[in-house]
Amino acid sequence: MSMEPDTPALSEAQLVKLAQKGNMAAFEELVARHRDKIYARAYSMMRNEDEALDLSQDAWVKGWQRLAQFQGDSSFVTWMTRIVINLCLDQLRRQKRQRTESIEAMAEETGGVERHMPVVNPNPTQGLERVELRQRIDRALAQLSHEHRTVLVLHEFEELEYKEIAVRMRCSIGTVMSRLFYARRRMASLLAGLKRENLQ
Amino acid sequence: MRKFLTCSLLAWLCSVAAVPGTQAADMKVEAKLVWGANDDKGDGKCQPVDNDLASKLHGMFKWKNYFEITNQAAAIALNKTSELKMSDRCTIQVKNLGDSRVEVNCIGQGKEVCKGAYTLNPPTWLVLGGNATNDTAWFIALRAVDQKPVEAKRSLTTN
Amino acid sequence: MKHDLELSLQAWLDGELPEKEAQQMGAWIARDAEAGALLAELRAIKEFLPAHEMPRTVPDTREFYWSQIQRRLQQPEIAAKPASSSWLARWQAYLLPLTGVAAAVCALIVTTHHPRTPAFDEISATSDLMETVTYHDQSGQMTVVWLQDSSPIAPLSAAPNVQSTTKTKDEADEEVD
Repeated sequence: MSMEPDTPALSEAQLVKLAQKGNMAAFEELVARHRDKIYARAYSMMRNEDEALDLSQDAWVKGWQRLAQFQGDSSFVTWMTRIVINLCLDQLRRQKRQRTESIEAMAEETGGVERHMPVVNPNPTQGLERVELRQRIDRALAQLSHEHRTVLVLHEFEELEYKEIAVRMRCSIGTVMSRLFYARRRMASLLAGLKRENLQ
Repeated sequence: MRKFLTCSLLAWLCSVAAVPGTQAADMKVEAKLVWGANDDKGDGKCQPVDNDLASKLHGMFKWKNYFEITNQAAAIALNKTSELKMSDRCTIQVKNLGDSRVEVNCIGQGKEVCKGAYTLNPPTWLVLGGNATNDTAWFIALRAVDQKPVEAKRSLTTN
Repeated sequence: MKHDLELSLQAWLDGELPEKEAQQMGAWIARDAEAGALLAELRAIKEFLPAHEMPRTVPDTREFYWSQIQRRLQQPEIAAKPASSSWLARWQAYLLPLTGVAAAVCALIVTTHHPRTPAFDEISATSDLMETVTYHDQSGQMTVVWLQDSSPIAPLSAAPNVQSTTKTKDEADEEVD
């Protein structure tokens, strides 16, 4: 008779407790339950499948190492999401040092372009299935620069406040506000053909 | 000297017999058949389990909802066994071993499935469980109910 | 509209303005058509995006994905937890072993003075067909016996009020009859 608990049946609280004691099977079950969400967050920031895979796995390794620090103040998946976000930001910073910035991207960065965008009033043009809608949004997100996409992901999807985003992105709150403003207006412009009711 | 020793022994035996020792009280147990599911279905026929048990099950298992299907109770005398029918397919036999210990035998479709001895001190629950269809689970939750001790003389013989 | 005002409007939308400023901004938005239009655009994106995030799944199988992680967890530098350099950790590293020894001595004294039946018992599985695992949760005040393959003895063939997609042999036989 094995003394290992049946991990698929256990609650998250129990799995975390067991994993904190070194139970690898419990940690594996946590990975299985949340791997898609952690991968999806990494992909939304990196927009590259291989990088997202690597960084999500890095996050799990880091999560294992830091499990003792998890006190239950947030859900486990929220805690893991924060870890993968930080890893993605580190990677983006490394890549930025190597990337050649275009003039347009620099203009976007400083927030000058969006002043010339007219306010968008979405026109009812065509009906869209939910899947197609999500694909349109995903394609629009892909057209943003890393910095603008990141601030949008952190604010709209992760619901972080300006201050916290500024700390994680190592920039000023003013820069966060400008980038967020530009990103939203750019998304609205890219999605301008959507039905009004889809945006309500 | 022999008389002295005999009297002493008799006196000791009498004092031991008179002292309220091991409780030979009937053990009152409660057993619930519980269904664990992620569906929110509850049409009045399936009542959610009480908050105490619900919080314990939530803390241990992954399902969102826990419904009480049947509830059985029994008062079991020392060294006696009570059979509790939890469903058409499952019965548990609970034997009072004394000292808050029980032996639980789970019978499924007429066949003995698992058996074990446990200590049931309130408010601890013993929970037998397993997976069921459609990503649900069944549980049999057993506990001893607080009882008033019945004073009894300590038995000089062991069962 | 001045850019600073636009950013303040956005901050109002995101609940990032102090209360007094927020009240002033709210009043201005209510009477200014251009501000109202900009607010509607920003709000639409703010509410729309999280509701329509593209779901993604890991392209690897569960086993392969885990194997990659497990391999890294088993590397020596990760398997051995690194020592922290903080003063608290150094203090803990020195005193905790002593505390552990003291606790063990106390436990020994207590248990030898007050012998108790253990709260946790081994289960003896009597069926060759049934594997069980038992564990005890001290804080949850619960002993759990989990039957690995409970299909032969699941108390109900189907959940109450839940449509079962599988039939038991008896139910299938009844239909034939």
